[in-house]
Amino acid sequence: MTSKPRHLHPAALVFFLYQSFKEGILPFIISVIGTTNTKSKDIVVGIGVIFVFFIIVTTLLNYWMFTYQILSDEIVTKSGIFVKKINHVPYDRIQNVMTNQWFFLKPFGLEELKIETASQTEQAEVELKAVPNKLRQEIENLRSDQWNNEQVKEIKQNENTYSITWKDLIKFSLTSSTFLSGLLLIMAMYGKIQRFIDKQIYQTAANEFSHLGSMLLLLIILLILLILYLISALVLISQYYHFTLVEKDGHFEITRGLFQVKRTDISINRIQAIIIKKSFIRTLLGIATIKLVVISNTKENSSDKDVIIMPVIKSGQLKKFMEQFFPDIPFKNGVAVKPRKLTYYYYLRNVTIPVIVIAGVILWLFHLTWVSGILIIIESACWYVPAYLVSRCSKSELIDERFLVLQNSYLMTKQTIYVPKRNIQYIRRKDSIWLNKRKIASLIVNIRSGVGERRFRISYQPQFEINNIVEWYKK
Amino acid sequence: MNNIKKLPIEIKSIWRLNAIMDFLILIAITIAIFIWRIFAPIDMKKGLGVATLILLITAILVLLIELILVTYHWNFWTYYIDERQVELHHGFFFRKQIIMPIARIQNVTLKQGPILRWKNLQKVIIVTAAGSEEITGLKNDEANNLKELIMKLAQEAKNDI
Repeated sequence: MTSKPRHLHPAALVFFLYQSFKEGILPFIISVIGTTNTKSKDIVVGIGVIFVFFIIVTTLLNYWMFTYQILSDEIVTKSGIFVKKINHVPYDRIQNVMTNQWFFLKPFGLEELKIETASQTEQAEVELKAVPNKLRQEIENLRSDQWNNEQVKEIKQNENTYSITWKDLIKFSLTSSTFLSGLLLIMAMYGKIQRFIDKQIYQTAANEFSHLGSMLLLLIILLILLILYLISALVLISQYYHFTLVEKDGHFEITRGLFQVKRTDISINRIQAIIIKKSFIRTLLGIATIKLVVISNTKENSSDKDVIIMPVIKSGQLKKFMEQFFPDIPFKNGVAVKPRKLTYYYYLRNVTIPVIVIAGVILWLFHLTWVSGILIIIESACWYVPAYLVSRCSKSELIDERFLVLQNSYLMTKQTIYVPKRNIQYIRRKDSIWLNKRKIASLIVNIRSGVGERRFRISYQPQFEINNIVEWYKK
Repeated sequence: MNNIKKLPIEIKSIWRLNAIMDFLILIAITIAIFIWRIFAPIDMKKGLGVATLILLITAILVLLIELILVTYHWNFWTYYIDERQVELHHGFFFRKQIIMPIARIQNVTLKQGPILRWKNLQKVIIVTAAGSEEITGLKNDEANNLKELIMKLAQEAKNDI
């Protein structure tokens, strides 16, 4: 089957416009700033007209020059005005097909299609901004034709599905800690803005506020926090709206989103490890999140490489879910941790040094007042509580010949990691003569994740357990 | 091949040379600051003088510590290769044991700078899909043998799967 080179749907113009705008805005601003000295309005207007003209022309040209062609064994895209770029992507090299449907594309039956190969580029190899929905199926069919020619794949007929319920979605978004990172971001922005705000304005505002009294001020701060919290929850709801997980033919297909429907497709043999995460708040509610560590090739979204395949699940239902989607893994409900005094001792000892140092700095800054007392208590809690949690849940266990379970805690989030032996790239065992006397050792496991590597570490564990794992790994 | 091996004794002179080079770099910075002090205004002289002194002491301490540790590192840096894995061990007070299965090794890189060439040594970097580890120096022929062996075993191991 060969088809002629096709253009994208005209709706793609929106994306090209955005692209040109993004590229052109900086030179525009610079030239406006550069000409402000002349105080002549005509020049600014002239630059504005040229800017708008330039953007429209580049948008149209970019749109016109971009074509894609679906051939029997490859996709060819052509783009570029002056520098022509022709990209050939054979179907058997495609690793991932992702779609992304903005709400305004829905009425037209269009979606954005991203095709990833194993090459290590910044973005997906092929990005088709607005193409008919059925193109994806077309490409999938062509791909599977090739598979069938090369090797007969065992195809499971039954489809495994899971859809999020409203109740779970709300639970998930209300217990998320992204709110806290948003708060940090705003505080950082505030610090930057503060430099720009005129001292005078700042002073008047401060005077204004001081009339209100401290109780009201506190109330306002709480209100702002509440609003932020609700906004972050709403953002999450829109992102995970209609979260659906489907397993078929050795692939996981995840669909989610309200304004932007995202569909991600993960091949099961690209999964490196499974992490069950329980943040502190979620532990109290008895819910967990399941994430996958996968190999991916694009560097986009590298901040959160792990793919959520289960946003929220009751701890009691974990076993059922794991058996449904990962029948290979002999899942056990929770890893039995027998807390050891020595583990506590080492973790708590390690944080004592920074606690003392920071306490010293606080005392130096605030002297011996009740303020410094409160600060020191808060500071020690910030160090000791996570250390306590880490020592309480650190554990390693071999469930069978193939699977290793590691459990630790990171940023107050307990994570249980299931790693198959074949995905462990290499391991490191650490101890010292002092730890050796007490029969204690640590283990670091390296696995692949995203385009790079990921290390999982568990420390201060009984030596025989670590040695068992090392022996198991050597076999 | 089936025994635990130490690095060649020549690596000690290379580590010593490295220590001396680190020392010389620090000394060069110290001298630069000292010269700056000569031309600096009076009120900066004291601060720069203290900085010179601190840098000088650090440089000497770093040199001494590195020289003392050369023997320690050499004594407790061993490697072991059999048909299944490469094992690296270092340290006595703080021990580290690295186990890399040969089936997981993606490639082996041999590297030789001018200093290593002077002693006919090569640095061997063993790369997996998630990170790499290195053997700081092996004799030329030994490094080549090791590379050949690992690559041969890696191919056989691939065939097993």
